[in-house]
Amino acid sequence: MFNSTLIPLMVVFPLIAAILVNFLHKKDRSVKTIAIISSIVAVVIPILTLYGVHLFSGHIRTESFPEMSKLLIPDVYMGIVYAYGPLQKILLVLLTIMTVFVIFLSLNKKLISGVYIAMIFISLASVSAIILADDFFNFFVFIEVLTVAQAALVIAVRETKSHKAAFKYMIFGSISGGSILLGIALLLGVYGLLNMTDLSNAIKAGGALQPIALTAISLITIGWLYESGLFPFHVVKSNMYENAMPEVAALLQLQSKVVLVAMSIALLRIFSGYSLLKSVMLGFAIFTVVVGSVMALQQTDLRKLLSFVAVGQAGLVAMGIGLGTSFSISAGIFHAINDVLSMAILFFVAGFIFEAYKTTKVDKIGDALQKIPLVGLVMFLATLAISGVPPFNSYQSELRIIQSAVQAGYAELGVLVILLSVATFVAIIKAFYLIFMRPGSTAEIDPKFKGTMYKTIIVVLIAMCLFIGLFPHVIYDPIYNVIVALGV
Amino acid sequence: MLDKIYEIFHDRMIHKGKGVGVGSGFTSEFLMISFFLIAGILVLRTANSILFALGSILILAAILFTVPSVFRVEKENTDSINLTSFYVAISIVTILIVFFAGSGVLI
Repeated sequence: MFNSTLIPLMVVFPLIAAILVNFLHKKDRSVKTIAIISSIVAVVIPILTLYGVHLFSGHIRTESFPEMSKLLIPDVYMGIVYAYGPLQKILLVLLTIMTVFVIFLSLNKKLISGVYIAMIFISLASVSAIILADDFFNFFVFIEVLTVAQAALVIAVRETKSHKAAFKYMIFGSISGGSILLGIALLLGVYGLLNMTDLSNAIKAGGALQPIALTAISLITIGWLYESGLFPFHVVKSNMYENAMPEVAALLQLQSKVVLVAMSIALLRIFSGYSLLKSVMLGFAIFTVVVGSVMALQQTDLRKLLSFVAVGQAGLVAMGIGLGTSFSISAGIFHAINDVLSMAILFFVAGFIFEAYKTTKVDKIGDALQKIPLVGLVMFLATLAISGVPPFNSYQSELRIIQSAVQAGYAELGVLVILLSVATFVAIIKAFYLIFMRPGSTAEIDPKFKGTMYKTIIVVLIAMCLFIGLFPHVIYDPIYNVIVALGV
Repeated sequence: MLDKIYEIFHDRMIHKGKGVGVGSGFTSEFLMISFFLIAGILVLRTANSILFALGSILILAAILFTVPSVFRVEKENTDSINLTSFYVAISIVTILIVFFAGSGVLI
């Protein structure tokens, strides 16, 4: 009873907060108060909620009358279902904590308004629903809402290039959204079901996939590539990260990776017996890893560089998932969690530099280590973390991805992961050297900017990276158990 | 030959942070060549087909002939809608072919 009331609250509560702050637009003090209280409550809800399943409108599992309805399974869910387990809890706690950080950093900005904070809450509600939903259509609806909210957050920067980035994101979003919806419609036509668990059972019972179901998988895979920011949509996604405020970019890359994980699990569950899907995922993931790293190495703007690193790392997560074994999928999801933490630190550092110097061009800033030593130290540690250097968190996940690649019989991919780590390190350390150690700076630091909130948050996050690196089983074991239980 | 390649990188990357820029250019080229070699080895090892093997060796040779390849990758990864649409179309076709041919529907 207790859990069945709290599970939908994880979606409903941020939506209520969004409506409230939107309603109080321009009343900055009220918006700030509601935003702070609501974001903290949003963190508490997933911690308090017990594991379980919530059936909307109380519709229980019902007989499907296979002889009359031609459904391939004896009983089905009649309503929308939200499932909450250990994996959902880890993802939701991470998501809500990062949202709190982003809201705290955004509250002191001039562009702060009720609508801006409302968009952050709507994106939180959407990703929460995507994580929880066991209903494919509900899943799709919130993916669309998320796309709009993300575009709005980028448009709020009010620069021409931000508008262009959001416009392109929406154009390709319409292609992707249309593909997913058509895919779902085709599956509904063939199997008469929208619930993912039921669809999975029906597809297993139905034997070989019909051409119409193959078309559906193809269309949904296109949507998966877009939502995850993988090739060929990597440029669109990196453009969004680059043109958002850096702290919002940290949130966007987190949301993309959480959606990547949620959608991958959904696809692997529904089409669990279809091995070609994993091969396609792996192929696009490898391509994204390489292109993302190569592009990151070419950049001279810290935000653009980090955007391509984030895209490359998403490829690495997808590579783990695409390898298709329980070990590799768990390692991929574990890497997604580790990566969003390290990437968030780097984006927050970019945000601090942007606030202090009014630019993130690495060739304009120099000698910053003497002026902001703590930020320099944390950026260096975050560079080590994201490059997979022990004792930080990404070392644990990258090691597991390499091990799983070797176990799956693809030792070459292990070599590729090592090369990616080296390339990531070179790309970010180049920016670190130019910003913090190179003598001479053409940009002047703003002496009034203290950035205490930025400094506190990046120190907390690097401590989290270190903690997970030293005690990986706290996060990894529940993920592995869930993946084994799902049987994907 | 190495001197010539260095000169190409020096000319293209000098505005991207002096020696550091040239170094990152070389690193990305190294990554690209390694990727092609690894992909080639993977295909040769797993495909178990002479036709596939010959094809992958020919593609690998053609790619290595075009060194340095990073500048081409950079050119193809601009944020232009036209280019992205082109690659989206290619990807959709590739996915459809793989799923249909792989499931024995096309072949």
